[in-house]
Amino acid sequence: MNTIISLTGINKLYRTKEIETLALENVNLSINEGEFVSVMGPSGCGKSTLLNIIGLLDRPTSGTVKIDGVEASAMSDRSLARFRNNELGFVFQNFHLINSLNVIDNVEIPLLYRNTPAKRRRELAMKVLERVGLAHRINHYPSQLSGGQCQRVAIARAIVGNPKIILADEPTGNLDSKMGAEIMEILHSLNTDDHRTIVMVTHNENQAKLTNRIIRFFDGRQVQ
Amino acid sequence: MIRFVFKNLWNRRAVNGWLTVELIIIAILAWIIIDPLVVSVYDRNSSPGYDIDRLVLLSVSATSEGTYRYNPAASDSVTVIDDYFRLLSMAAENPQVQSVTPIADGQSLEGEGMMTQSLSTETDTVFPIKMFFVPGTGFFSTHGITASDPKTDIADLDSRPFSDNEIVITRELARRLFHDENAVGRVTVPHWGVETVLVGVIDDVRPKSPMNVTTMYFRPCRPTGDREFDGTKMPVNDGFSIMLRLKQGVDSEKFVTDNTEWANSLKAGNFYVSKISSLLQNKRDIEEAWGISNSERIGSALATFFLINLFLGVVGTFYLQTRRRSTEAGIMKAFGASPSRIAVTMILEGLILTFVTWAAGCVIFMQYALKEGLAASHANVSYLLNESWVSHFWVHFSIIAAIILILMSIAVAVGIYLPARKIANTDIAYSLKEE
Amino acid sequence: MITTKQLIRSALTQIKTAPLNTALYISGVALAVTTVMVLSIIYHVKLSPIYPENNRDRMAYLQQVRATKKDGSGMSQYYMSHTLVKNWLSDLKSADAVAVISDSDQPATIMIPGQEILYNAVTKFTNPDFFKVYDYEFIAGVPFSPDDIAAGRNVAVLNQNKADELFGNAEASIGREIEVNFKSTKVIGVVKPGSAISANSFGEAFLPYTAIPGYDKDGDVGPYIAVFLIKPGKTIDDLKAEISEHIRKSDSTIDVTHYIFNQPYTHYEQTFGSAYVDEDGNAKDAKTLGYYAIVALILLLVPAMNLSGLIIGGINRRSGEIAIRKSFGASRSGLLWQLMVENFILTLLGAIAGLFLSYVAVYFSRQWIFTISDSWVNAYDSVPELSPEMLLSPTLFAIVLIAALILNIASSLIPSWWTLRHPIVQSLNEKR
Repeated sequence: MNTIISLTGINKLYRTKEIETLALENVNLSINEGEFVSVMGPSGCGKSTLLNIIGLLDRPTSGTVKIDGVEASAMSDRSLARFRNNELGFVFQNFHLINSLNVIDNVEIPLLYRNTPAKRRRELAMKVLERVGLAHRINHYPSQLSGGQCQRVAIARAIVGNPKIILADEPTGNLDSKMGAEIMEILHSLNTDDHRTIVMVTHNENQAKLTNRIIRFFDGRQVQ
Repeated sequence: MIRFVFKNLWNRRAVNGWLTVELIIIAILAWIIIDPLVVSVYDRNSSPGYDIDRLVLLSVSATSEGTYRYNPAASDSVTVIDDYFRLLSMAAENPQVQSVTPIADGQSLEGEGMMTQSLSTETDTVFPIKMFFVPGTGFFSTHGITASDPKTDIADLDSRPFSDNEIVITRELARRLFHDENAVGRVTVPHWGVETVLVGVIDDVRPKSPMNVTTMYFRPCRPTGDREFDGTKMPVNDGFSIMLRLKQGVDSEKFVTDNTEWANSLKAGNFYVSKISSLLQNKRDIEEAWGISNSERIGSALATFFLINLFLGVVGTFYLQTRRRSTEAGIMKAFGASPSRIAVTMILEGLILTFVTWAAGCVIFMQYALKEGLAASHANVSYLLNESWVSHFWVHFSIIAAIILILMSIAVAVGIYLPARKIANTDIAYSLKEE
Repeated sequence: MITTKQLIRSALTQIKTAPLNTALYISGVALAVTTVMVLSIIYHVKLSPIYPENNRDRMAYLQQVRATKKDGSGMSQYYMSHTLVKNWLSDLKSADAVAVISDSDQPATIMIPGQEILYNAVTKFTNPDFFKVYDYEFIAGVPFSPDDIAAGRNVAVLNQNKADELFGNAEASIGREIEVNFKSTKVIGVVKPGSAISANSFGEAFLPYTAIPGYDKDGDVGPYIAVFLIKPGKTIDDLKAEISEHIRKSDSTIDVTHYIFNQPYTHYEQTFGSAYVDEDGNAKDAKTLGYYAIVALILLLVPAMNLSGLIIGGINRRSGEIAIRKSFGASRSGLLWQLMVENFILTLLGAIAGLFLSYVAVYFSRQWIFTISDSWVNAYDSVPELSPEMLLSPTLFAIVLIAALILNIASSLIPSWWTLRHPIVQSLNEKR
């Protein structure tokens, strides 16, 4: 199996005027294509930081990140943006939908930055919304949807560009157990049916046990 | 992207409410301020139809009876004319002077006096501005006036001994009288009732700065030392003026500064030079006196004031949205938008809002303008020429509307740029951080 | 209740925590106040008592005169002729003094005998009452008197700047001979200079108008204007009635009817009216006090709209703090007062900056800025000087305060009141 995500010697140091915080210390990690990996650990252990670095949303203080064979540190901001657009999809705990846009416009966002023509954008967006079961709500706004529906829209947005990797940061953290189960079902289907690699940060031991591998962190270090 | 921008604008209409109202108000105020300002600047800077840059005017006064410098022996009509021409020669001797020509008192271009008198044909009567000139003194070439009709030769006009019933007119006057620019040889009847022949048609001339180019004719007049004016003879006993054409490369304003003493030294009989000034300075003095300069200053100051306010308003409104927009920018960047794209999207929002409010402001102002008209060129005489865009309503409206749109767009774009740059460059992880 | 010290500290904290926001706000206020203050300074300089026009509240002006032939054969318009001055302005019971000034012969040339240098001087050809109407301070010598005029003496009073230019100092000028328009003239007095801004009274040299050749050449109209100093206890209407009666009597003996457009005008009417009046005596393009007040209001309210955006941003940033204060018992009106006062401190800083900038603006534009309300601009022949009494005045300071208050209320009252309506819990739960 291919290694699709490779982190070598990653350190992340946050510096303010008075304080220095080592969020990640000497992290070495490999994830294979098609794996569904959970990242667990107590609050403040660095798991979200790890996800941000894998997702190229943040740069490590030292170390190398390779995604799908491409080393990220050498890339310019513009190249990183293009890479993110093509290779990665994000699902956040707080959904992070844009409140002033309706469902279908939210989902089309990644395609905007590929300059996909409007008609094609609409087609692709409808396809993924059908997949997550929200094709009948395309003109609704986030404020008119439940938490579970919002997260489903966020998942649709994450996959509309057909990325190889999905990064989910506590995707069920703000949902009740029933909605959480629905979301996990969708994620599993994306993994088994589409062979997408999924890296998920979670607090939920039960959900983690259903994934291929659990990576545990404590105080910025990988412990398992 | 444009649809996205429109949606954003529409969905944020409550937040952008203040800014929208302000933009419309400023668009309307901009019309009130910028329309007259642009017309004034255009008129002031449009070509006068002659070469104003190297012209200097000497104002010649005469010492009055009863003052100790008065020379009674120089007061008879013959001596007065001798002294008149002697002073002209003395002025011409300055090594920086190319040519000189005498001007009837107060009657120069960019001068204080102005007179309109009628010229008629069988079918038309026009009231152009009349200027006198002394034949055989190089009046036209000294002023740098150019011929319009191919049958007109400036050298010939300068040297020919005009009869009392020959005049020179401007091109537009020829069109109005004869519907034909080539009017040399035609006959017209001026206010003094005698048939008069046009011996030359020259390019249109602007008599005085705040005014636009207008219809003019030039009547020959000879200087006299008798105190009687009969339309063909001009008394010069109380003074006159001399127009100097400087040589190439001589700056007229420097010439005035350097030659004030020389001007003071020019004396002939009872004549002395009381003032030396460049025509450019005279033009500025008239613009000051007519309040044109002040109007332009106030207009510029007010336009700047409102545009700076617009800038501050835009900066404020967009900074207000920084928190929310930073989160959105983080999401966009996470899905592949580059910082410049995010900034451009925000600026585009502002520009579209500007365009819509500008259009609304133009429509509102148009209701007023269709009734009361737009800013007009300053005219103190009967006729304005219709060639310039100022007199054509829709061309005028479009030009000013475009200028206002550009100014507002610049203020808005610059105002958004600062917060947009900050928002677009926000660290993604920071902006999406869960608390 | 929050103390004043805490309020000031809180206001200063805003400057530290949101420097850009605060800088924008103060700049916006300064810009608005600068514009309003420039307008106010112009008004003040033209209307308030400024040397030597210390009696502006008692001054009245008579200029434009129209003479129509009774047989309808012609009409002319200019100022008063010498005969009209004699017939109309003698023995006025409503006036303490009447200055008569000639419009002609400007500017005069001055030479010192034996020297070939030609000086130009802004010259007032006037009468002895000129120095009663205008409070010129004599540094040396005396004004010319009716005796000097009756005796036909050629005398002149110089202002100190011109005296210094010609002779080095004021005392040295007294008794010296100069040639004014080539006429030999003796300097008998030197005055402290006025400012060219007050064009009615300004001069570098003052001579009797009888020095002008042909000063009493007659016509239906002529070159003379009059400035009256109304007697205390008398009104402008008393003066108008008296002059009208004199005109009626004088016109009854000649073939001309004179019309003076409802003059004399008060100083305010003269300053903000127009040189050109219509048939009914209404000055054309007259800008009333109300007009300027409306202009000033627009110049304050448009910036206030902008600034309210910045205010809202600032308040939103502090929504947590406000919610906490509310949960510990602060009332809405108390919080409103706090926000308004804090904001007023910042507004006042901006207003003071605006006042200073207005002085700078007026100084650098003094050549033309005082003529902006004139429909016909007479350019200053010398650079006008600004005196402290023009710029430092309780009236101006009061206007700054009022402008700051208006800006404060207009920009922050509604946003503050609106924001304080948010429920506590919502504010506390809002992300920073």
